[in-house]
Amino acid sequence: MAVIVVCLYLPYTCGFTSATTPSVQTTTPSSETDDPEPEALTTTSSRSSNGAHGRSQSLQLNPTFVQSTASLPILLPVLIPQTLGATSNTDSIFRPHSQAPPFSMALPDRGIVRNKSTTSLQTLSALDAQSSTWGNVSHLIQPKSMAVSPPSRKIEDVAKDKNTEEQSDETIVEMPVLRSRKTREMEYTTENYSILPTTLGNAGLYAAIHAIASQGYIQDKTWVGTLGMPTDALSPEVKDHIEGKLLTERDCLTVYVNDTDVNAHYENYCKVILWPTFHSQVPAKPESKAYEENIWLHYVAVNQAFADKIIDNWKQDDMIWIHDYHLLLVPGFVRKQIPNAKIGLFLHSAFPPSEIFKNLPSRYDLLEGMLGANLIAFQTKDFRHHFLQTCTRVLNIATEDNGLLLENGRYIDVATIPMGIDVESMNARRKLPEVQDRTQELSDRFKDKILIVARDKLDGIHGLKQKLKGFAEFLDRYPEWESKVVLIQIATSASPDDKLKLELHNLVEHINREFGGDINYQPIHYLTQDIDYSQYLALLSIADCMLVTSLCEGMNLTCHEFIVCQDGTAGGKGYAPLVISQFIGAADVFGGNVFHVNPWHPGGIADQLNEALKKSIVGNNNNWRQLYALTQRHSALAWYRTFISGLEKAWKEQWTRHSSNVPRLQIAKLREKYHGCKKRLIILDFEGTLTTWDSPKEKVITTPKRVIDILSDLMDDENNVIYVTSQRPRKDLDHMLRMVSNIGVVAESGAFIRKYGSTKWTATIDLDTTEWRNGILAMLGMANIPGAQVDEMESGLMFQYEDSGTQDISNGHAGNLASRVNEMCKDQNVEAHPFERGLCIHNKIIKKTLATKIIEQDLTLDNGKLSVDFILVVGDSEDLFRWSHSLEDLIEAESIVTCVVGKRHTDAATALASISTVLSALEKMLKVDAV
Amino acid sequence: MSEIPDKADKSARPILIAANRTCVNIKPLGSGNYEYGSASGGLVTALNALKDSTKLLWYGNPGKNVPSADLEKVEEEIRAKGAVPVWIDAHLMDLYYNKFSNGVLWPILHYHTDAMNVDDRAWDAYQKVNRQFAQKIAEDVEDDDMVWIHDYHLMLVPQMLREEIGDKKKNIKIGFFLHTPFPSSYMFIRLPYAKTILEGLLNCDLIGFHTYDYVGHFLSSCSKILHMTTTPNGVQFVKDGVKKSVHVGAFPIGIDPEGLRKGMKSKEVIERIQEYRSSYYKNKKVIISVDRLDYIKGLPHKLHAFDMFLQQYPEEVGKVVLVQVAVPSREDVPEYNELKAQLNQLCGLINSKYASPGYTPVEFMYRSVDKNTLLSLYGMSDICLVTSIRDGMNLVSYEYIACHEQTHGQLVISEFAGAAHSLKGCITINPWDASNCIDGIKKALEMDPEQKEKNWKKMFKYVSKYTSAYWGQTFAEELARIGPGYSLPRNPELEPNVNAVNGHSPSMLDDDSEESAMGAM
Repeated sequence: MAVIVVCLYLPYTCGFTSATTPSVQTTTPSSETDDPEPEALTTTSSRSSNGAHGRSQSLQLNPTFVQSTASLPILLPVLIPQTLGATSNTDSIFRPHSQAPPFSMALPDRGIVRNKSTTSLQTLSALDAQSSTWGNVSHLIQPKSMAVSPPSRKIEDVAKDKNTEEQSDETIVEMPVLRSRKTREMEYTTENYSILPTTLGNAGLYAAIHAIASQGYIQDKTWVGTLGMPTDALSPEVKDHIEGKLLTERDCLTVYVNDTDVNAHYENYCKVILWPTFHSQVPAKPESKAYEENIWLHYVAVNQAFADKIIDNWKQDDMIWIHDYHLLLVPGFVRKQIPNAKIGLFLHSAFPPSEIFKNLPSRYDLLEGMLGANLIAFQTKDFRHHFLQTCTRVLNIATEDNGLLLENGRYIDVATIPMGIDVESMNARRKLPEVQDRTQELSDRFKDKILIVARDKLDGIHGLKQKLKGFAEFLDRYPEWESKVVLIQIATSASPDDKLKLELHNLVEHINREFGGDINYQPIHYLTQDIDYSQYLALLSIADCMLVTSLCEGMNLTCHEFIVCQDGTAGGKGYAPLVISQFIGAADVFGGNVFHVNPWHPGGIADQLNEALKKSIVGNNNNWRQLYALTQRHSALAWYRTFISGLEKAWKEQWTRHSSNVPRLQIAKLREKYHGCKKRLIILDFEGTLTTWDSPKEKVITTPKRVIDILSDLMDDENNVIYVTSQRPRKDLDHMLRMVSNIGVVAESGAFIRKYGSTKWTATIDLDTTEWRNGILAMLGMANIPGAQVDEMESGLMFQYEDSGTQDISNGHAGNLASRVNEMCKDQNVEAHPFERGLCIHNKIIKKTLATKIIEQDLTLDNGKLSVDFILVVGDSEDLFRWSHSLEDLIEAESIVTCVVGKRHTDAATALASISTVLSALEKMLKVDAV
Repeated sequence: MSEIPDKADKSARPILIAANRTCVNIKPLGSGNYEYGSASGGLVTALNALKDSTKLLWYGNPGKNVPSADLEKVEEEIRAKGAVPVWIDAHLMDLYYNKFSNGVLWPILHYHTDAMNVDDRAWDAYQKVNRQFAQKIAEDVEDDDMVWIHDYHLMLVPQMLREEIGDKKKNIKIGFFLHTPFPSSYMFIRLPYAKTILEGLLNCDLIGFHTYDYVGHFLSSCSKILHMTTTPNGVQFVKDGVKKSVHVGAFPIGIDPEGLRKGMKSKEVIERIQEYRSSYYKNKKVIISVDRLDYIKGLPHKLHAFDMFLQQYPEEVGKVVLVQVAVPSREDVPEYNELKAQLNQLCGLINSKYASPGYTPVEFMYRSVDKNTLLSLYGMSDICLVTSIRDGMNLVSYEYIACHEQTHGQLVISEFAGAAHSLKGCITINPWDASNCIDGIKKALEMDPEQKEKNWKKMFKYVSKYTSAYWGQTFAEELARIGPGYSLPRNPELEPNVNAVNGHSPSMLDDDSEESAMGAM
């Protein structure tokens, strides 16, 4: 079984060396030597950014250089960011990761293939989907984007999002002279590129899959994704070459999409519209791209390209595992081409309540795309609930215990499977000498200080502004901590949101001025760039508290990392508390063992920080132990295994139980059995099996003569016990079945039974509906749905509406109503069950089996056996199918015939397509002579 | 204590109303003299009808700084007009009104967490002002009185009033109506004071919202944040050993359509409409929009959609005009000023793109307009366009319908406005979806007169049934009826058709089915 891991960016990308200095980098990284690079770097001295990389000692702290070139992103990577507002040069203790000397286990030394094993890099950067990959510094030479309008933002902004400093000369349009010269010089051939680990994308996912694979849990995996760089400039030959190389050496299937689509998909749709919406923020400021037309089409195009790639390479039994919000249409596209594919979808990001999801113009398409999967999993119960609720409210899809039942009968499992990190590889990494060195270094530097650490992506969702406000409030409210507490905030510069950057800068300066003052004390060390990864681990190990104030986040794996680092092995420090936003997935995972804050509440952050720091002085080993156990329980491996086995199981059940895979009812056999037995129990559903649902307009409900004839014929045989089951009230059924007045009837979905041969009704259950009835009636009364009507029943309500031209809207409204009913009556145990153009609302206890249990009792002989030796159940009541199969101890399994009508997910053993086939099957069954 | 009119007559006890602003405007004439007028505003209009049948005593901030020497005198004078001033110090007012009510509550109630700036000092001020209201009301309250508290400014008053009254008075009924949306519990919990506010509200006997969506959100907030058991009718809990029931229901607010119809018949309005239509807007189709300038109204969305509309249908350039009245609002809150600048820019862009001599595609009026102008604008236009991204109800849409008896103008309205849930016959759009908005506008512009009339009739039927008078009376009656064994009424539209239990006679909720059912019989 192969696992196809599908995500927007492959874990690898390409870097080119200048054509003037062809290098040997076409060989695999593992066989590379360090030799070519220094040469390449020195010979292309004009590309100072590249030259600076990794060995930039001469450049690193040249202030003049910094100032004169500050506007050039290419030069920034080499700079150690001065802590904003800092007056003390001790802040330079933090080094950007790129400055780090080559360690035994290579650091994410992007761009230059000096590490012996590129894959080992990935294990080192266990970060969230929401964070950028470790490092954020790179200077790959990659082609310039050829993206054209409508997306007017340049591809360098794509890069900027993940990586402000990523551009090579080739992508800097602000410098036309330089660019044109370089462009002329630059050639992209099959000879001058090398495969490198990517700096984009979901580092947490790469790390997790890598760790799991290296532990031998995945035998056969294939990545599907894009290179995360402009590719229009590459010749088909080069593209093929890269693709081939990635496939043979890295198990990667490369998806090529034109630059325009790539750019618009990510920059204009994912980032501007989906990302905020999925995190429950109002999507776009008026000046944003959200208003531009056709952006959606680029999202579709990229998703289609992914789907095509998958479809072309799919083999029977492959598991297609699609990741995150960039690719929500892929499940649907693949499903369309490969109906029996195993497709899983995991959403790393959050999922908003329906009220917010509804804003999206493409809401229907997105949901329908997602529903192509067999299993859809979310980070938390809340997100899962939101998704189910949205499906009900927007598409009027019925929610079941484990997922969704679609109209076409497909069943989709919806689960909560929180992601985690690989604890072992992290621990291994921490034992390295350089981490130990950094730990010592930092302990010395901050030995009298209480450290609060944090690493966030710099964007509106991660709540940096809120954190700074909360921290200021903390210093203001609890002056006793002043001059002791230091907040070290790493902000991975991700967003081109200059307004936010400026705002944060000002806030930091303000707080440092207000509460610092002393040359030796800066309350906030604000680093707008990643620090060296070993140093980061060291920092986590010696910190006294972690502070996360995201406004909303799928998980936030920094918390997991912090917990692992706080195992008490670092020089007398450890077991420090976490203060985290209540709106991130990690708050769910770690529950009461961490301090929860509402990021919007500065006062609350202040109070919780105070509590946490008081506790951190005491130290709490017990609490930490529980947290550590949780990171292990919810490890990357656990996540992977739960998902994969869940997908396998979901697919198997969905596939085998789908009625199109259930054998057709063999009428000849049925006839044989029917005529070969002594006494029979026959249970037929009424609506949808014998008759259609009448339009609510019909005042007089009639039963077709053909049905009456069949029922009369069945009743003519005294060896038959016949029941008709219905959702309708008993009064309706009395009327509709008056021509066959002795027939057994089950009314109101099982709340009432009129026994076979009797005219007396009995209630199967005694329920009081007064607590909810009027409230729901009032609500239904206000529903703005064409042709709506309510029938009051004894056990509940039946709400019907008519077909209108605007089915979508009515469906949405009816779904909305159903969902509201369920929410409002959840304490009364009352549920709305959607059916064709209607809702049936009653207590969950009411099931048709309430009635069939009574029937079963009546037919049970003194010796415990049943008086019938043949049971036929036809219809769409799954509980009846299950009930009849449960009688297999009493009757030969062969003589229990269950038959589902229409397309659906079923427990029945056989299936028929429609009402007319049911009627003709019954007619044929009754005939004594062979047909 | 001041005189309360007809204090002796039990039956004539007024309903005590509490709202941020009182119903009387104070105009200082100098040298300690004041003139009093009737305040304008939605709530005053809405409660006017109730005033005809019931006495009201209205607590609120009079909105003018009156020198402390004159306070007593002014209070006495406006009490005679049915208003009781709750004097609020200017600094406190800024914190309570601008910073908390409009800087925290308003954004969260409209899902706009971006604009939510929480500060415990503002929360303190909010509590103080609510306490002031409670104290003021408690001074006057009598046994068996009904107190009806309005809107998000005063959400703590129910609890504080109970505290102030203690066991000094008996059988005080407290009702609360929220004029904004109530957000999904997942959002509401982002308000740091969510728990306190919910608990405060649960001191009411009856809590009303515009729609059942909001009722649902409120109930699920009680369930998720307070962990209470809820029923579709409300919340039940035991407090201090006593079983309490709080009834929660939807009471959609309305307008006074009669008043508007009369206004439309005035000579001035008729003449102005004729003038508009025969000169400036001759051979043009006019889209009217009237909004308070607020980020919830989706004004940039509207302008963008209109821009796209003209781009997509160049033949309409020169023929279709968007008249946007934007009433200045909350100019002390920074978000509103930013928005204003953005709108000016957007209008400029569109006009520079499509304008020609005699044709300005967007006429943007950033000011309030008087009643006759408003009626004329309503009356002369072909479509009313509402693009709110969240809106409690939106009564502009109702007013527009009431003004189109002859012309049957069409309503194109955002699905996120409360009114879209009740008005059958409107064209609903998603303001975030420009092409959907364009289709809506096009559909409305091209609708045949027969369909227009049919749609308009449906909407008008609703608007003239669910009036402000109906709203005020229903709420007050329900509040009065609450007692042991009380249960909220079913929807009145249902009642005539529903047989008791076990009936099978279907109840028609919709005009369409009623008509066709009649035809079938």
